[in-house]
Amino acid sequence: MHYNRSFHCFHGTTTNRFEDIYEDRKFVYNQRKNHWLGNGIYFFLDDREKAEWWAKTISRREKAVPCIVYINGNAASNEVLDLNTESGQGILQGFIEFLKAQKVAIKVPETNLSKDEQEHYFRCIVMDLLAIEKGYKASCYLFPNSSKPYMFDDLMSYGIMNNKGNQLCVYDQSILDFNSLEKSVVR
Amino acid sequence: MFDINKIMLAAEKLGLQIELNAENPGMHFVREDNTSDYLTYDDLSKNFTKEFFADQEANEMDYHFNYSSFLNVTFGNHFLPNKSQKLEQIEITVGDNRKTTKNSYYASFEGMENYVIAVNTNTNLTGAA
Repeated sequence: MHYNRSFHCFHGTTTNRFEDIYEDRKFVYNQRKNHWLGNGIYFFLDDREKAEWWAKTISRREKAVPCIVYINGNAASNEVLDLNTESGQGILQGFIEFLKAQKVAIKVPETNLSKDEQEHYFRCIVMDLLAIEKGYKASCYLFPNSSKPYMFDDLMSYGIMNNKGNQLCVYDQSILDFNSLEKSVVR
Repeated sequence: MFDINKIMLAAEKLGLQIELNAENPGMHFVREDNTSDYLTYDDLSKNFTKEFFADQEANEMDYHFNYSSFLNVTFGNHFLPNKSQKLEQIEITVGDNRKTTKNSYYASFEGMENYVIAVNTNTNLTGAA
């Protein structure tokens, strides 16, 4: 059984970059070796504040004006690997077990990465391979936040911890409705 | 459920070299002289655990205990009791008084323990052991 899913996506960026996104009707990202869910464009689902934090972070770095981009995404449920669900988690586990069972060795040129960077690269490649093999257009996961768990101090005693947001990694931008694109400048 | 041929094609698309039934399964970082470092799938699972598993992180992040029914202590961020650690945050509650310090550095678990004992006896909350 498949059904349609709608995603409310927030992306932190700068006003200059928004102009490019608006004109080109696409997001551009750098291929990296350490993207958490693989290579794609990342959004915070339903969490404007997280996008605002990221917009401020990159705008400080680039000395630019921060802004938040909202866009709506729509996809069939089987086109999204949702690692917040049992079925999504089972698929990822199955994929890794499959690679192990097939005794798959992935070979890349050595580029002086640290052990930690190598591990991130390995995970990023596994996510990329899974996305292509299954034809996923996006994946999502609610990441924990080890660096700032005390944002809402008193909630800790209720077992509610801050997190790094429910993040959606979009591999195929055809799921994004560019007619819904909105910009909000961060003051 | 998965198709190895599709995975091979995906690898080709990503510019990766893949070997099946390898003697050392995992990810190999190959040098020019054909030697390599490699990570196993167990290494991969540890990395997933570190980044993805909230409970595991919570266990590493928070060390919370009641020193007595009167004293309540929460240590933040990767506190390991038998190692020297830079602490992100320590929160000590004595009765109705609460004190939070950040980036305190304790030379040892014993040093921290002495500090907590001092807090418990005279509520002098300044300075790290």
